[in-house]
Amino acid sequence: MAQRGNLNLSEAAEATLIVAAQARDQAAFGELVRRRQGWARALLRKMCSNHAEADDLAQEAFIKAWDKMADLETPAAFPGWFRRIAVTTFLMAKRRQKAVFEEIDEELSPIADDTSTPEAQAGAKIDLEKALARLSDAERLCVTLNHGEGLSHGEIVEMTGLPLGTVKSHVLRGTEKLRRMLEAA
Amino acid sequence: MTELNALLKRSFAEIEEPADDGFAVKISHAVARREASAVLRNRVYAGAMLLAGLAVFYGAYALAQALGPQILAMFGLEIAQAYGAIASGPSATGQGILQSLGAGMTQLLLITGALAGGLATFRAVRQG
Repeated sequence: MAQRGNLNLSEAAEATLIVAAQARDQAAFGELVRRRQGWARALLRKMCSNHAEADDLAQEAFIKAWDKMADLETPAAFPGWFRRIAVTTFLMAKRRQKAVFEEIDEELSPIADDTSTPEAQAGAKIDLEKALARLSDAERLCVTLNHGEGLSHGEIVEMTGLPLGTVKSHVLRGTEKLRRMLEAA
Repeated sequence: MTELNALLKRSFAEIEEPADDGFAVKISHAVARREASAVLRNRVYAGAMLLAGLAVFYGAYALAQALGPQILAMFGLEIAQAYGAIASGPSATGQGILQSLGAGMTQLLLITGALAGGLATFRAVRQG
């Protein structure tokens, strides 16, 4: 069990870990990463089309978060603050690859879910990760932030720096593509 | 569209979070390496600044040894001449003394300017 001074890290509240990490406590930050890695990696896996790239970006985002911990105003703001870092990291990586606005021209084929859950049998569920991988980077980002993270178009604009019309267009087109894949499944 | 939105929301929520397969440990190691390199960088910087300070001090000391008495003598002479000029009122000699004082002050201003410039550069390097 990780323990540091009087602070039992594995039982400490997340807010306590964040405050300790802001005081440059590496062990507290390590525990915070351990608790949040699943969420952060899942978020980036939704945005990226492959898991290895997503994990690399998640690592980059956590290191940026460590460098900028002092900028976090309140512990409660951590999820939104980290999400912004993750999105910025993703956008920077895509800009380096010059690929953020690339579209997939290929014909969209049906993406069926291969599990045997009742929802899948009823055709009410899609393999979302596979379907997301078929969208362009920009569409995937906007759809994930809108439908997955529950952000409004305005919040996505504020977070990504993309124009409102572009965000609306990406969400609409991405959602439409997902709908077509679902119908075809 | 509402049904689709609900389905998407549900599907997003159902995406499984990856298990920690050593990811957190990798981040902890990366952070530790980063902090260690930052400490090393700060120490190297402090050592470099100490060496630079010693070099400046050594140079200034050598200069003061070589030129110090001359400068002090010249400065004292200038003051004495200025005092004499003020005490005895304006004259042709007095004007010469004032010119001489002006030349001496130029040297002093140059030295002061060089010191101020050096100090400003030192602070800029320290902050940057």
